[in-house]
Amino acid sequence: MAFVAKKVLQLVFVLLVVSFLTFLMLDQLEGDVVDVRCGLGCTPEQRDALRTEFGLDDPVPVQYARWLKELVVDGNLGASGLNGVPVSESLADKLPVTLFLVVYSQAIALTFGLLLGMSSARKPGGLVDRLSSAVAGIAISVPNYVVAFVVILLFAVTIPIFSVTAQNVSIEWLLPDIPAQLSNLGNNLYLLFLPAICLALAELAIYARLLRNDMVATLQEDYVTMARAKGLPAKQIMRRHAFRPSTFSLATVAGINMGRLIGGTIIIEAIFAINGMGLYVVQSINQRDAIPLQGAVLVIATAYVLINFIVDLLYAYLDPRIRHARAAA
Amino acid sequence: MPALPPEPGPEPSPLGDRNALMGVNNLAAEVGMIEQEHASIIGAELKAQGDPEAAAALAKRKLGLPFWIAIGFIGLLTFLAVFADWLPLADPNEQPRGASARLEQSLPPFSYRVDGTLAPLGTDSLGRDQLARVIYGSRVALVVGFASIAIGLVIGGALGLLSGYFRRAVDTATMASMDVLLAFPALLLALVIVAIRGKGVVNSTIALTVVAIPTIARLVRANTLTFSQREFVLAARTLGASHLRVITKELLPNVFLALLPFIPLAIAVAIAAEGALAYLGQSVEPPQASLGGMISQGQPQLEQGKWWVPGVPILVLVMLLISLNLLGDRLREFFSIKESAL
Repeated sequence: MAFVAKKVLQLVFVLLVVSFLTFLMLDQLEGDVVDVRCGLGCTPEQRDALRTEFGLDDPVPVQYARWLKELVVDGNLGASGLNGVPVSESLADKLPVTLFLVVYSQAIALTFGLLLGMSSARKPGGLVDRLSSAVAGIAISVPNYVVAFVVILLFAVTIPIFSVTAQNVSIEWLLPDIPAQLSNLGNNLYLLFLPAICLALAELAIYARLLRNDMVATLQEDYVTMARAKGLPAKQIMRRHAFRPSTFSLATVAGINMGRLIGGTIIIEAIFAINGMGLYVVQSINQRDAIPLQGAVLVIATAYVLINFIVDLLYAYLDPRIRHARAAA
Repeated sequence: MPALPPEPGPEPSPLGDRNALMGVNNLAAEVGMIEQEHASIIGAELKAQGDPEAAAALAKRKLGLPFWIAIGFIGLLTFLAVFADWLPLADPNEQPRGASARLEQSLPPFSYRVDGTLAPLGTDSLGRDQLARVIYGSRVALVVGFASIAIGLVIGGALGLLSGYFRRAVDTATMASMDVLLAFPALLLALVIVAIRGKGVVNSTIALTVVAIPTIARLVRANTLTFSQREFVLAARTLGASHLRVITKELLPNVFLALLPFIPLAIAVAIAAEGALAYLGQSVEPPQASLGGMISQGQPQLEQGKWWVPGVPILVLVMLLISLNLLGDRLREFFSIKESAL
């Protein structure tokens, strides 16, 4: 328990520092809320009035404390200086879209990564293995925005089965009946297919490589030889004996990648015009609208830190070596 | 020297430095992986000392032809980028004017302009010469990629060496601040830094340096930790060498060599990130060319089936990235020769 308590303390510390940095960073953004509100047509008196209204003349720690209090007590992240829409409202619309995309691409990556990894491990150095390792090498080196262009060219322009953009994605929670929900889900799965593939490809290659290497190592263990000697079919050995002990590093990396994918969606959302967190960040930057940017960065960083925290705990729990080392100490 | 355990699997972790690049957030795992790697290399060296066959195998290892092709491509692109101003290239920002201007837009590679001059890689949607733009764009990518990793190596390397060597308070403080930097997704952090400081080559470099520092610091720290436990460090300390001497003369050369394969991979990641920034319109100011900017401007052409317009910068970028990755992978195989391979 002492370990968990220490980790939680660390988490709170990191989150506080992250929120302060987020606040400070965007405080530095040239063109503050006053500029966004005024455009070019404000008298100096009006500007001063706005500065007082937003409390921009207070010292930074005071501003930070006020911002944090609003956030923690009311869940209030302020409003866009451009159109006055509350940031928390926009985020509530956009976060589900990004999460949907992340989970979708993760599901694709895990499914095909496992299949590919297992079939390469069956015969290391065989045709499947060499082919998949060559493809994986390329897939890992090529950034996702390049993959996006290739899939758009292939599956949206040359063979127009998918659309080039996916701005119509909307996650509806409150649909009346199950058929409507299913059709909404189906539509989202269809619209986000190409973006999800772009995000999934590199992850898929990593998962396949990780699983393949761990599995090749596991297959050299004595208990696998034992199972073979007993005459168990190869399929059963792969699935029931070798699979689980080989998925350890895969599970860790998959967990961490959830956080990484949230960051990676920024550019994919921009390419496919998906109305999620990433596009929101990019639009806020282009419009120099600091308050939405602040909110979005804070939410993304917090999600990222939380996911890493959970993975760290699970890692310690899952790995018997770490668990026992700690128990012994 | 105690007997070393035999190699368990074919390779402990082929994704070693890549995991670090991708922010696998577990310091213990990082150190463990590197220790395994070191043990295997020491094993290989010991084996080679007693065994002429193994020694011959160690001496015979080669970098291979693909490695030299990759070096050649990177060298060629660097040469073109460095000497771009003196090469007989078209002006990268010059748009054709007049009645025939429309005829010169989005030309495919190897086509001729109206006045009969060749556009070797075609023209973009504004009729600008793609070859010139791709070379000037590569210049931005190469400068930002190399500079950010070079500066990141100096700063992150110093932090990692100090915290890995002195441990305790220095280590705790450094790693805590690195953890804070790692709390932001890399691209997001870079975007925000550029948004605050403004566009341009210098600011993109600063942004990507900040993003690279924590990863480099952690990798250097993990390597320093394992090297610090080795006998030659103890011997140097016993002979009365100062901390400064141990760090610069004993640790630095070893850590640097261990880090060498990681450098091309890191540069590839930085160049890909610069491309992402440029795609999002947050790198250099237009009309200055950047690979990501060219890709982004070419997207509408792609949707009309003129795939070569974004295709040219994409191809150059992909070839550059694959070359750098290949370089890193081959260097790692070359330096971390496995006991089992002999």
